[in-house]
Amino acid sequence: MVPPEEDIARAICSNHWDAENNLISGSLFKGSGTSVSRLAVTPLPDTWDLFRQNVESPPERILMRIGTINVGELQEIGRKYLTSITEITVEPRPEPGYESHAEIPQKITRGLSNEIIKALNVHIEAGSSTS
Amino acid sequence: MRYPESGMVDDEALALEKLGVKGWGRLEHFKLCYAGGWGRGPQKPLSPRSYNALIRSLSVIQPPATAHPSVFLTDAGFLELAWKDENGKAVQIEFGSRESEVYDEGRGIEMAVPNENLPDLLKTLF
Repeated sequence: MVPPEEDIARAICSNHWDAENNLISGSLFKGSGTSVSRLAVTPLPDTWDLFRQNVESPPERILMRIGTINVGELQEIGRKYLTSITEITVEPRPEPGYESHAEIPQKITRGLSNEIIKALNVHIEAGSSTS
Repeated sequence: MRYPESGMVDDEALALEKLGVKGWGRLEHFKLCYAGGWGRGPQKPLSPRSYNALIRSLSVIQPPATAHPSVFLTDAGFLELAWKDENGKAVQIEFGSRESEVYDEGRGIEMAVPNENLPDLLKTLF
């Protein structure tokens, strides 16, 4: 289990991101088996290329932003979501060439996903010209 | 992809009216580019039933004039419509193949509804 001190990153691709409205899809964390990357294993600056290699699928699915959150904070959000209290864990699932891969195995509802999105730190790549 | 229940021209005019140029453009992009396989994971092609559910819903809902609805495509291949209400709270509808999910943060609504009942529900909410 990934310790609560760690931070994780979630790719925000073009199908989940409306640049015009600066809005993230509420489904970003919805469902079970949500893939994330551990920043303790792959630092954020290197995560851009990692996601491009493992998540992006041009021309349709383009990496637009990266959302990061602390695991302990993520777990606290799950415990405080009274509509559907969820004990969230982050489980390491390293893959060849993607050692930092991890998953959130629990089923995340849309409402809880929205609460997680509110707490995300949303990053734009340095030097990017995208809005 | 075929959209047997839709009159394509009417659908596009309706989408343009309710979603604006940007929202209509994203919808067209998803129709054109995401109908086959996409992504590197479990992503599914855009569901024609999801598209039809969205179009039927657009005929009955009227987002606030200040709202600029966003269109998303979930990894399950379902379209999602989202906007902020007058208090900045999230309103989201995910159009599934058989049932859809309605989320209204301001009113504390998070529910699944069969697609055949969706227009009636949306009429009462929006």
